[in-house]
Amino acid sequence: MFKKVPNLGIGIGLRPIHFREIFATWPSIDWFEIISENFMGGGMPLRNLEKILERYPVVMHGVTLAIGSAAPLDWDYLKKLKALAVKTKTPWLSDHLSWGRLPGMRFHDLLPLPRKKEVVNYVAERARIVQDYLEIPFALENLSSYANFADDEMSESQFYREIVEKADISMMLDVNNIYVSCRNEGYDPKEYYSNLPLNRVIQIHLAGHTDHGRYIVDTHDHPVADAVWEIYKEVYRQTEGVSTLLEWDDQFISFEKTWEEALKAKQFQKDMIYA
Amino acid sequence: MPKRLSQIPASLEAMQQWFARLITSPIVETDGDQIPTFSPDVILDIRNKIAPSPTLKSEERFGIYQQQYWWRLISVMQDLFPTLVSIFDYEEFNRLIAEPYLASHIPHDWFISNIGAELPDWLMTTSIKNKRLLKELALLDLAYEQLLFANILPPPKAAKYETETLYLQPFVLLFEMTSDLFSLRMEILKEKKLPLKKERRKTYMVLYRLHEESLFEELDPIVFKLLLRLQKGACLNELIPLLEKCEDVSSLFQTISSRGWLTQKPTIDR
Repeated sequence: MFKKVPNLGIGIGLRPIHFREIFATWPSIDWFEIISENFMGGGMPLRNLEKILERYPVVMHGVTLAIGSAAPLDWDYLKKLKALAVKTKTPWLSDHLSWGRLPGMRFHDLLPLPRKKEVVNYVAERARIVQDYLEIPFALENLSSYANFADDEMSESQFYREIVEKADISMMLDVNNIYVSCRNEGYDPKEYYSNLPLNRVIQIHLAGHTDHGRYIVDTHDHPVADAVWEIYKEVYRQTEGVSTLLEWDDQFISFEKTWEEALKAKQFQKDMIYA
Repeated sequence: MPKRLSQIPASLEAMQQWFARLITSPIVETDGDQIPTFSPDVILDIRNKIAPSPTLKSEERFGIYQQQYWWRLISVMQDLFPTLVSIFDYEEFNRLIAEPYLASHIPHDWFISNIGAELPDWLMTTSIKNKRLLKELALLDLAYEQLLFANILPPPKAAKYETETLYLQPFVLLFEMTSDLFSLRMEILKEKKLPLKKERRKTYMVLYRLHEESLFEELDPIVFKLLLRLQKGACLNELIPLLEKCEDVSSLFQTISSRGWLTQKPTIDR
């Protein structure tokens, strides 16, 4: 059942490149998000995470669940995921509204789903099973889409809405992905988010993208674009305040600069209060 | 636990099979935006399934997914095999190794670091020069990666040393080689080329983690045999014949103990 969760404040996506600086300075960060799969293999990454867990709240975000895949749910993967969730005490867990798996194959990419009623039913049923199994709130993240299918029956936002409502799960709303999908498909971001049940959002992702002119790619290697901050302001206000996280995954800048970029969200939040 | 789900929509499965077949096929050519291009019959097929956007044709939109799939996996392969990248440089590594390997080995594991697991054996099926040496170096690259994810198991209780079965920790890996390929690997990573052939001699090496660093050293053949026995599991009484051949048993055990190499939990199948 969909549940409200605490607002953890502003966080950063924890990446291996950050460990040295974090362990040296223990910066004052509200919380970290981890890519679940980076720590499910054990070893040094997990030992580093254990040190982080002593001082910061950590939320898990996965990339290989493949909720919309035509392959059966991977229960070995889910068992490992749940074991890590117990260790991290993550207050919720998220993955993407995508597919990337077939029997015997893993594509390590977030691939788009046909926006059809029968797919809504199929994905919603699987999402509900995952949430029941994990025993914590489960959220699906909207994709950055580069293509949609010729026989789609609905828009991306309607597809997203119908799945989270039917599954009765939460939303992990990536506002950069809204911008990327809208630019690539040629529609208005406002129309996109106005169509969403924003009361279900438990976390917001912010990130940068690469603009190739005719299309844009969700690269997480630039500062957040002004147009994305505009979407953030609107969406954040309507959620009545949820945890916000900056993802930065390539062309890394210093930890301090990354945190400064994330903190811009705090300024936007203050501006909203005084507006 | 697993619950019986409704049937998978047939059209979803068919679409995913089609999508997978196309994105995993090698990129032949790209346009000015580095988007892969396709043959006329494939373009027709894509246009039947993917909608165009105001700025891109159907095949261009689909091509972004193919581009992303290949770029991601090739970049992981470059990270996994730094020694091979140093020998060939990036472009040649991609062309000769990463692309043909990935074309015939679609990933099947959620753990992305496992995508190169079959590369050493695959190298032997190619006509690449020095493939035997390249295979050995690829195995070393994978061993370094494996060590990053090796767990540290609890140390054995001293009182039980003599009678309980002891095992080598998962972060200690043993190698029997025809020359010191670890030093050669270091040289390649530094010089960015394959050095002249080294003298061949039977060499015993250990690669291990200490204070979150990966270190290697050459071992005396008797010590190697001893550690190999411990890798399979042995109690000290069983090791006496080998220990008697060691030059300085107390110093050996001091080293093993200070590096925390032993555990009582099995680390590999006996």
